[in-house]
Amino acid sequence: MSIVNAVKGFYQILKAMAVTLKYFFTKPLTVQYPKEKIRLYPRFRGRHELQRRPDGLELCVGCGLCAAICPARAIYVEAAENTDEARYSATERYAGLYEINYTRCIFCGFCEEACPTGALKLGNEFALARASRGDLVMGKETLLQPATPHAIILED
Amino acid sequence: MAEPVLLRNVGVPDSHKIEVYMQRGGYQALRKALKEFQPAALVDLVKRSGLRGRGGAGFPAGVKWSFLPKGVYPRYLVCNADEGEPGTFKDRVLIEHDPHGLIEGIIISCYACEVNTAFIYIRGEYEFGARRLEQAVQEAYARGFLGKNILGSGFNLDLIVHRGAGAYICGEETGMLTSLEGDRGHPKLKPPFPASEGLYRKPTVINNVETLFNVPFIVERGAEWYTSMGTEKSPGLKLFCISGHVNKPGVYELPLATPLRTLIYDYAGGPLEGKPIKAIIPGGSSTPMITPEHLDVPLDYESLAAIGTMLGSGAVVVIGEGTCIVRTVERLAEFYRHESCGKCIPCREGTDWLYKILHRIEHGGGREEDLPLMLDICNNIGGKSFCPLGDAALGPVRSSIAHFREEYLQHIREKRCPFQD
Amino acid sequence: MEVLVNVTIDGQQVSVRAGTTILDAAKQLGIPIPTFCYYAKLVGIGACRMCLVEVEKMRGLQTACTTKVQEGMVVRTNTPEVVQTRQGMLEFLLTNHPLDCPICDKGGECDLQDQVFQFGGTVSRYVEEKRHKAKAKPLGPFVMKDEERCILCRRCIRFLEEWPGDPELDAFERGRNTVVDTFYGRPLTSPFSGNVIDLCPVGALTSIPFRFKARSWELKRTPSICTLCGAGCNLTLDAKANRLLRAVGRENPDVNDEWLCDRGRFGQDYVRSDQRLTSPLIRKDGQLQPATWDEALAFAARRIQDIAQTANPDVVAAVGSARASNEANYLLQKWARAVVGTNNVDFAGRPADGFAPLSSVTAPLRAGVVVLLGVDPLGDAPMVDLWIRRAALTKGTRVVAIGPKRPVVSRYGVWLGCRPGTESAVLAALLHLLARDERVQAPAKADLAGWTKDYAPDRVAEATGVSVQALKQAADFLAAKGSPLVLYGGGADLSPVRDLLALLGGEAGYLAPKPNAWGALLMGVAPDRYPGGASVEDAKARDSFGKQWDARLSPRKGLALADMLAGCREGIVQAMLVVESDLVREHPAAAEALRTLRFLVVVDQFLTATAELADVVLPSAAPSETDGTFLNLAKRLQRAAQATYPPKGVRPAWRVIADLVDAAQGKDKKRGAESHWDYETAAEIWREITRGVPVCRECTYETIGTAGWQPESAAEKVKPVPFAVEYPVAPEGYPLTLAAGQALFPKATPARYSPALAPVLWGDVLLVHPKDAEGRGIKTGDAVRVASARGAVELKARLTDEVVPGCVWACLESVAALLEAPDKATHVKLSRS
Repeated sequence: MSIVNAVKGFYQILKAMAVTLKYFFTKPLTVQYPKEKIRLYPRFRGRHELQRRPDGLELCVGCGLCAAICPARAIYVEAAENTDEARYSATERYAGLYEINYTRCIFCGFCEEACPTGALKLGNEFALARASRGDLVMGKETLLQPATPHAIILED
Repeated sequence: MAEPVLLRNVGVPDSHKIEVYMQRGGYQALRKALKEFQPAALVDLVKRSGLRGRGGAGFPAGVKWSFLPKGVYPRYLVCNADEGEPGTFKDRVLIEHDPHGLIEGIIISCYACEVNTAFIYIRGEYEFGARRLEQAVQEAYARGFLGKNILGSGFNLDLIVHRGAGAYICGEETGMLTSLEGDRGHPKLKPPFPASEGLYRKPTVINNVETLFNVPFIVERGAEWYTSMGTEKSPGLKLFCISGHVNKPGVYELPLATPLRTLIYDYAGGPLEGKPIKAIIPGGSSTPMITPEHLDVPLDYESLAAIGTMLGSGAVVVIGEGTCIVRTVERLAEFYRHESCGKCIPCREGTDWLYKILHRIEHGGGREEDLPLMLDICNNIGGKSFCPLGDAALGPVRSSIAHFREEYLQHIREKRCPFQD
Repeated sequence: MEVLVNVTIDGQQVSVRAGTTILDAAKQLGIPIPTFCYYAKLVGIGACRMCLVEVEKMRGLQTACTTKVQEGMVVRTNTPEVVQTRQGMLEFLLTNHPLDCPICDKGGECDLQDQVFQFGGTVSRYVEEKRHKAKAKPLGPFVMKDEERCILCRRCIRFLEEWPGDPELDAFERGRNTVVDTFYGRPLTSPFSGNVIDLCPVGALTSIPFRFKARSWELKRTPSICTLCGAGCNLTLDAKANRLLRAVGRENPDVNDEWLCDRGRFGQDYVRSDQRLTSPLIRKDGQLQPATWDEALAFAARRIQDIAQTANPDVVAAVGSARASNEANYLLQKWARAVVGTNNVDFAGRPADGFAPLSSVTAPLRAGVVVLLGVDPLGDAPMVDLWIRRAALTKGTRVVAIGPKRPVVSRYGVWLGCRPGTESAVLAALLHLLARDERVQAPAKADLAGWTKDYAPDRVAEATGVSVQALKQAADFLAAKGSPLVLYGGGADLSPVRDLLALLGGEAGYLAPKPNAWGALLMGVAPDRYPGGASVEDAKARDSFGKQWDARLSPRKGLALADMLAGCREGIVQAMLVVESDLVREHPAAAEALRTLRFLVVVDQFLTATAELADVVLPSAAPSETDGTFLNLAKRLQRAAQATYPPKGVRPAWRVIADLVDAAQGKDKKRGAESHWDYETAAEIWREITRGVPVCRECTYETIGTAGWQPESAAEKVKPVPFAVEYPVAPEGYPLTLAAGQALFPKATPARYSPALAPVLWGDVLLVHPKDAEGRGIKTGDAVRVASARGAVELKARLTDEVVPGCVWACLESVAALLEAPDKATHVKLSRS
């Protein structure tokens, strides 16, 4: 019996070695991040990006619907009023304070759907690790920056 | 042509002066009324004459008078001279040429209704008429036909001429009353009806100029004379204002139930330049338009109602071939949106919307779905607006779509007005 | 007898009172009928056509809000035509309504949103250009108008006409161009203007102070009361992220119906003022410097203990406040009595003996004539002012205002403008006339005729400056209408008031300007009374409270506030604890007296003029930051609930007092049952109060609830009393009389710290009659110096005939230092500076 087992075992090893050998000569899947770029699907949901109009004004009007829909309560908005001297958005109102807490955000994308002005897009920046929790609460200055992701976007 | 009755003083030199009026038998009916009639008997007389309100609704005047609650004084009478309906200009002729006839009618009506203060609410645009009226009222005061103890009968009456500021809505009775009270001319809730709680929350009679103008003749000649003309339900004489594409536009006095054809061809000289008639608005701009197939309809309240339109104020507008119906209706819609008082939602928003659609169709932006949409808007206004202004705005729209749908579709298809070069 | 009629609505039968509208009948059945222009507290106009329903045997659709039910009426609210009509009306409204809900402050609590959601169609068929009108146009200091959003329901217009009687708004233009606006673009100045914001069913009228501060769903809503005057209006405090952002009216027909005055609505934001104290302060080297709580409490406790021990407990005094809650006031007097051992407890504005509360804030509705005896309800209790206006507009109630300054509501009657201090003489003249009027029937008539024989109108007119004609007019109102409601202020002489009641019936009440004057009194913040009103000389009460508080109580009466202040200079009072009371701005002698103290502790929300003199200042929480109960001017017990947490480093006043006691007991004090000062919540203090105060024995925070609790009070039988009036005599060199009162937006604490009220606050203005200004060359806007024997202040003059000649008027806060007593007019001289 033991000889039979030994042969069987040897056969299995050979089989496994064949697989290994096969992949030894194929191109590896591992990406040498950050030296190399990661490949993402276009609808990947990463860090939020607040959008601007072509003329540079913010699209966000501070309506707070994103905060209302957010299941993780990660968004906090405080609106303010535009003046002739300081104009941020096209309407009377803009987001004076806009914060997303990435320790809470679950990247569900509901906020993007709730947004009546299309101001909020979940971009493809995924490198969100920070050294402190405080840095994970991101304000308007950060969120208005377009992401510079280390990624190649795949076809849909 | 029979001897004119209502228009007997029109065209007579200085007919607006009291001397001329009295020379021609004026203020005799007043003497007769004060001497021979008790107020209740006068109400009864007018009731028997079957005189119907000439403002547009056609409500029997005597019946209206009898609605006044007993024993509540003071009462007011307001003569509605806010003749705002496009196409209507009969009251203007009476006021300008025969102001004393109106004043006499008012005095007799006030006596019948036991009113001691009466108002003539005249539209702001009738400046000339208002001046004539004011002058005539002064003359009447000087001769003792107005003021204290008129002709020794013990009856007192003050008559005040009040000029409106130019709002169609003030022709609506409650709108007129709020305007008269010094408020914004907005219609008020009914009930309470003006007859029980009107001006200054007192019983108030409101009658059209022409209605009141008829009263002296009825007093003079009797109810039977009046019912001998017209039909059983629409007795008496009526002033018709004919305008539009006819050779002799103007005010004509005819017994009710005279055929439309007679008015147009025998009196108004037929269509202008012999062009065929395309449509007729029979009773002022708010009444649904009819097509020439109904030319033989008798002009009385019932016959016109039977063909789906109204006698209204008796303002016949003849629209000749070659006229764009869409443009016509657009212009009328513009009038109603301009005159909507803004109190209720359907009229304020609906008239605006209708105009915008009609304007778009006329200027080449029409869509197939605009016609059902307009009819739907009409349904949402009709019977739902606060006062009849909303309904008035629908007459031309609905009837024009019913009779001239193809013309609308042509506008929509060609994306232009086919009547414009 | 009530006549009931039976109606059937959507197949359900209901019996309702005759005269009920279809809408109200449907409400009873729980059948929703949408409305816009309808508002239960305004007269219906049936303009919006949303409530159209089908009624059998009636042609066309009927407006449910104005059609009265009739016996056997059959109504249908769910037929296809009705449903279609509602959709149609909403579609019409939306054609020109800007869909800027995301930036609209009404979003989330908008009638139009809700009704479109519930009754509207789904697809927009409107492709034309929307109408454009003015956006973000301020109507006065508080109300922002957006004309595009307006649906022209006219609620705002009708409210201002029907409630405050300030018809400042109306519709302008016509048809689609109609806009609501003020006449000639004047600002909206009604003291009750803020209510139109609540009334507006859409976002056409929004609040300027609340503009873009929060969305409605983000707000934590706390039912509470207003503590900016004595009326105690019910309101809801809305907070977001622990910041109090707005107040809206809350329904309570017995107090404010559902309205608020602008002071109460917009003034609550004083809690967010950047001038709030957030740390205890200790005077070091002559300067107040921040300190820790432990440090400040220990220092204060030790110093007071030292002073009390080196002299005697009676050199310590405690001043409570009509602004502080019952709980804080109770603990303060308990501290003074049980810990210090003195009865030197009092507060500014304590109702004098014989003063009575109003039967209700709504008392004007039941009056034939409202007699204002030297008070202006618009300043002292604006809600009472609103009820007077409402009574005048709906019931024909007349107003007889007696005093040197003309109140606004005197437009509904007559102003008997008299020189300050002669109000009683004017009342005597009225009694003189009434006692001789045939229409008045009362047993006291003959007595009064005798007592008032020296007060014939012409004589009184000469001595007081009032006109004889006005006196006769006022007497005529009183004789014709009867049942007067006399509202009096602090210094009133009640004898003639009693006589008026004996003659005509009716009621009289003290118009307490502070939120808790009656409460502080009931809590025993008085030199001679324990909580509940028992005398400190009553051995039984002393024993009972001594046992409860585990202390030996002093049997001697304490010093009243005026005596305390007088005693400061002589060393009779050496240390004082003042809780939430700005004595310097309210009490004439306070400033100099407090300076002579050896030790002064002030507990308050702000560094008030009083706190600036203190040795230790302890920051306390505002009423909206802690729980507490208040007794309003009708002695209605109501709860001010905690809407936000106090700022970091701030404690409720009751906790500050308890902590002070703990600090005095040292580190080794025992916690738990052995300490009487170990309160976790205000409710615990209230439970203790109910054990000692019989009136509220049955009351808990739960039974007070959000509606409040009104103890039963039996009307007293009034006996007429003879009286004599002394006319004030001006001393040499002081030809004018200064009267002080409260303005609608006073510079009093805490309203002076409200950012929203800042632009409308009553400045340091002196009202001068043109006649008095003439000889002195004073014009409006001039800086003037007004001086009494006590001192002088500089104010800005405003010439007006609102004051009688010979009298100048200013807000109490501006001129407190000049007065002889807080409620007493004072002779002054006036010059340009």
